[in-house]
Amino acid sequence: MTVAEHAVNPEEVMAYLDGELPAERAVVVHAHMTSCDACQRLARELRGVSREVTRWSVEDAPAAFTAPLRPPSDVRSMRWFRFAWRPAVLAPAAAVAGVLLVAVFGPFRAARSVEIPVGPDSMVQRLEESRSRAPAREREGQMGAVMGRPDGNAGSVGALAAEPSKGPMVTRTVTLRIVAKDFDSARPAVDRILRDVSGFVGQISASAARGSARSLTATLRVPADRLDAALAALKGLGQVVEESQGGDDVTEQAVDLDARLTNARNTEKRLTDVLQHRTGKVGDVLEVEREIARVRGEIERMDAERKNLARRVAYATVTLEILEERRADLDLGPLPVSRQFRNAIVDGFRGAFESALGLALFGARVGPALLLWGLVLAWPVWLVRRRYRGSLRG
Amino acid sequence: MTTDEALMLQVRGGSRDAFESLFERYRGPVWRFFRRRTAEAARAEELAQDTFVAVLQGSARYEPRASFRSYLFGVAYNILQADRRKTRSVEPLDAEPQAPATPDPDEAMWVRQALAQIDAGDREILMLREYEQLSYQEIADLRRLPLNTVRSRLFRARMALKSMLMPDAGESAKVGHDGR
Repeated sequence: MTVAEHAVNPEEVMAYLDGELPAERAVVVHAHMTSCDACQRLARELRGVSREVTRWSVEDAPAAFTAPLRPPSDVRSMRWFRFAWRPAVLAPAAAVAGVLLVAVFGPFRAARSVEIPVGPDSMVQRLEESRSRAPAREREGQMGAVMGRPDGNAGSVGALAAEPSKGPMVTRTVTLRIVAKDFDSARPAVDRILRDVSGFVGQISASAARGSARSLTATLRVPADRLDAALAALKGLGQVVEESQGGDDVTEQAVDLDARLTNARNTEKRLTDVLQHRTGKVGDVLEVEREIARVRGEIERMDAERKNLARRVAYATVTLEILEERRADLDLGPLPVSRQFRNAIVDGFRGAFESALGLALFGARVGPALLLWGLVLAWPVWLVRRRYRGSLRG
Repeated sequence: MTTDEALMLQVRGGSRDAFESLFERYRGPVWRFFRRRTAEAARAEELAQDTFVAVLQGSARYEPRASFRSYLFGVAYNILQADRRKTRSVEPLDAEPQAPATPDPDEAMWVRQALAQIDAGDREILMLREYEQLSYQEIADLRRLPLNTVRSRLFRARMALKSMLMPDAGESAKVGHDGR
């Protein structure tokens, strides 16, 4: 197909789908699309892009985000108050105060924070690998693989999203704090437990501060139906010093979403029927098409939201912190004492030499100027002194 | 149901209830607007809060010339731009959010990485269309661009995304329309 024989610009197809074309042009594009395979394919792709983009959902707004209560005149002070009490401000301030205290009262050793690569099980890495290998239509299966499911399917997530909710739907969160004697084997053990329950690591990091216990913090995503088994295994890693569990019932939200989805699908079907058996004016037809596009968009959005909800229910979030059981030992630093003495003496000599050199440099820098001003002022000073002595004699 | 514009006129008249109704309607969309454009949840919350404070402050001067939705996102966009100027940096889109994991980090990451690879201006237009559901004209007003430019850049962004997110879709648009 060439430009000459193609009456419709691809951008117009997009604008038509977005309901952004003037009515008379929309009629032309609509008529063209009914007989043009290329435009129909383009329309499918554009709808596909919109559907893909809506997969990026973000978490709900925090409960603390409420309507501003202060009158506008207080805005500036309120913003300062908010700024001053934000964790991002408060935490560095506390950290600076802590550093100053340590610097004053004891030797300071900087902690080494080590970001542990998630290794061959890394979700990111596997996602990248799978993405480079296969086209988009296979992604759903890949997601299952990424999540550690041997069958390569998204598992219960897809099923949950496709069917109306049955029974209560609860998103579960668990926080575990464990003190482990054998810290070195903790990380491989966590990997093994996750593999056993088909879970995956969301994030993991470790801290190894000199002279203090090492720690490992991780966010794990575990299939909800295997959460108890995972928790039992994780508790076997050491002594549990803190445990909390929470559940958020989202059944009502899911039921509401299902109902809205059903209604929207029914509406879309009715509108499509109207369009197929239309007898009205062109303006009416366009109005129906716009409505179909709007309803379709709503359906896709709600569908994505429903899948997200199902995923949150299907995978519990476990925040795990493993601390090493600390054994204090005498730490005289990385260098032997004799070497520290030698370094101190060398530093002392270097300091003395630098002082002497500084003094000599100062003399060299200021001396010529002093000499010049001495010569310039010597004659007036001699005259003044002579007159003063003459007046004393007189 | 009372329209947004009618509620905003009530806010202009000093109605606290009307403001809270508007807040409830747009709390989520405004939060998501900032959350997708900032790396930290705390910062997104602060900017979203600032947006509603600005709406409250500017309510006395509000005139229902356009939809409240486009007015609100115009305010939000200006606040975002001011914040970026202040921090002298544009948030990298592909930066992993610091907040607790999103419900579907895998799929979100996929889209986010694709978005990060397209031109920043095109990306903003696409995000305003796809996520904030603004019309071409509203985006043109907000970005101070000609309407046709918005349409062209939106098309370009969508085609770029198509090649990244749907590689198996091929080059049908180019083939069929000779790349116009």
